Amino acid sequence: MFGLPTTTVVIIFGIPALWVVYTLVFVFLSRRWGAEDAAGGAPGPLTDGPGGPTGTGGLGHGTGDRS
Amino acid sequence: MNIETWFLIIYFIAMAGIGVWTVRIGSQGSEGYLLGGRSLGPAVTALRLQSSSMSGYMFLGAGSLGYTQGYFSLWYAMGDIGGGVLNLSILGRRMRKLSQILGSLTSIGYLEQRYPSKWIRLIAAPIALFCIFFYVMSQFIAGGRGLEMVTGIPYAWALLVAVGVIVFYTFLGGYLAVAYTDFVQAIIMCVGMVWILIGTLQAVGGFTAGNEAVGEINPNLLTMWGPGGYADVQWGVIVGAVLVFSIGYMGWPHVNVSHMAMKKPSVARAASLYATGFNLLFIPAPYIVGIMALVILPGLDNPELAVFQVADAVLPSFAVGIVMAGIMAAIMSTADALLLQSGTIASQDLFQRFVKRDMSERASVWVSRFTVLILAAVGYVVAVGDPPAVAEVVIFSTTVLGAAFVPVYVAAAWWKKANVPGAIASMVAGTVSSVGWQLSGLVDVTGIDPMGVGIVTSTLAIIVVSLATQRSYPVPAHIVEALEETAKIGPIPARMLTGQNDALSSQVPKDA
Repeated sequence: MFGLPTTTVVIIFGIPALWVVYTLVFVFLSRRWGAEDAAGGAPGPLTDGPGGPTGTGGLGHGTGDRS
Repeated sequence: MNIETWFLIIYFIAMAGIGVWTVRIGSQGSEGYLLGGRSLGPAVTALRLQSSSMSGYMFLGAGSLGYTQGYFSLWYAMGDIGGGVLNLSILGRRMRKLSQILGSLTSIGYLEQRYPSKWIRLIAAPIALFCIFFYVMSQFIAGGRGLEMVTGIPYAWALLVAVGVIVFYTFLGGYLAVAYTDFVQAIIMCVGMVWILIGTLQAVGGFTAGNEAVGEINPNLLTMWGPGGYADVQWGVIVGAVLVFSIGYMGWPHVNVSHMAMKKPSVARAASLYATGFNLLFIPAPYIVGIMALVILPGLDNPELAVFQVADAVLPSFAVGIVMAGIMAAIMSTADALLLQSGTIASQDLFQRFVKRDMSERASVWVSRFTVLILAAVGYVVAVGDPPAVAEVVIFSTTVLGAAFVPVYVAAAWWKKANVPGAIASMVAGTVSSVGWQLSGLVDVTGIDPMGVGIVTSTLAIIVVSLATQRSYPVPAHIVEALEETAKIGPIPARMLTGQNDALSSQVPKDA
């Protein structure tokens, strides 16, 4: 395929495919990391309410979203 | 003045403009200058991390490897594609959170605060500074050569322009300027490189036709075993090639600082998608262009210029300008990160830590700025004098950085038993073994890459020495508590935040 030996094709397409799978698995397994997003405000007391952590005790130096 | 030069002028002005734009944040104390106020989102984090890792090597070294080694060179790309996601998934969230709990502002300072001893910084800072300085010098050289080729101005003047622009925006805006310029540069370099690849494949009649033409030169160039074929394959070099740019990323202080500057620990999650997407598009391209250059430009005197010369040969002149801006972007995005990091190590991790500790925030920023200026001047003088081969310098510097620092950064965030003696032993063993392996010529004798040797040695050192010294040098309770908090998914308790708990924040050991 593509004028290349089979081994070359398997390696140059197979390994990147494995990295894509790794990325997707990581994104799936880390889906609950958003729970830490409450830490984006000014320092303050932490409250563990029934809906999970809702504390504002997060970044003391945040200056806003810069994505 | 040719069209390529005009594109470069516009590009340089845009980068300088970002420096001016970010000067306000960069002047808001050390955290503003060194970490951009810990405010970066996933796109900027990912592309900054990737573009500062993808240096001028990608346009000079990668093309050269493709030209001389054929598809064997793609082993480097195979590791490189996963380097970003590996770093973000293993270190990203934990390093962001732990660095905030410990009050760390620099990636070397973070190590001292996690392993509380001044010896950690006294050993880590010189190793990092030495490697990063040579690395930044190689980027200066690449930038000077690129600009010389496009504009025709003499190398010394081209080098001065390239260094001048980098220093201008790094001096003004600090990390935020570096992050935003890197973000823009990542996009430019990706567009430029994909454009060269498309033009190259068109010039050789397509991917299959190009491969067939390369196969007529030497069929072994189409294999993954090198020009000598399977009989001469060097498995040690293959393992090292994959390791250097996958696991090796986690030992680079100028890359790891990206984690500390994230707006939130969870930014690492979305950033991984951007990083892998960018890598898939960008990384294989220069190697393939280098391979196809064998068909387009046989008998090149200097294979390091393969990508430059292919671009010049296959693209229309207006496109060459954009591509050249992309090439300069790759070089400058790494050079700025390295320059800022080396300035940070010299000013914050050495001068302020050991010479003058009672400095105001404003004075601290100015010390960092002037250190950047001085290092750039020294780098310029060295680079203009006797420029060595870019690819060799980059690979050697990154090899030593990876061997010295990968285990200490990973263990810092993941292993509660990693202690001061283990970290010191690991950094020393990694550096000595990788440098010794390279200088003694054992690479040629054994075929084993120094990166592989260095990583194995430094990993064994941190495990064995940490376990052997647990009783005599236990990990302090406040570090264990910080690591337990880091492992949890959730906001950091207020009592553990910087400035609110003397035991857990900003706890640079005063008498350690």
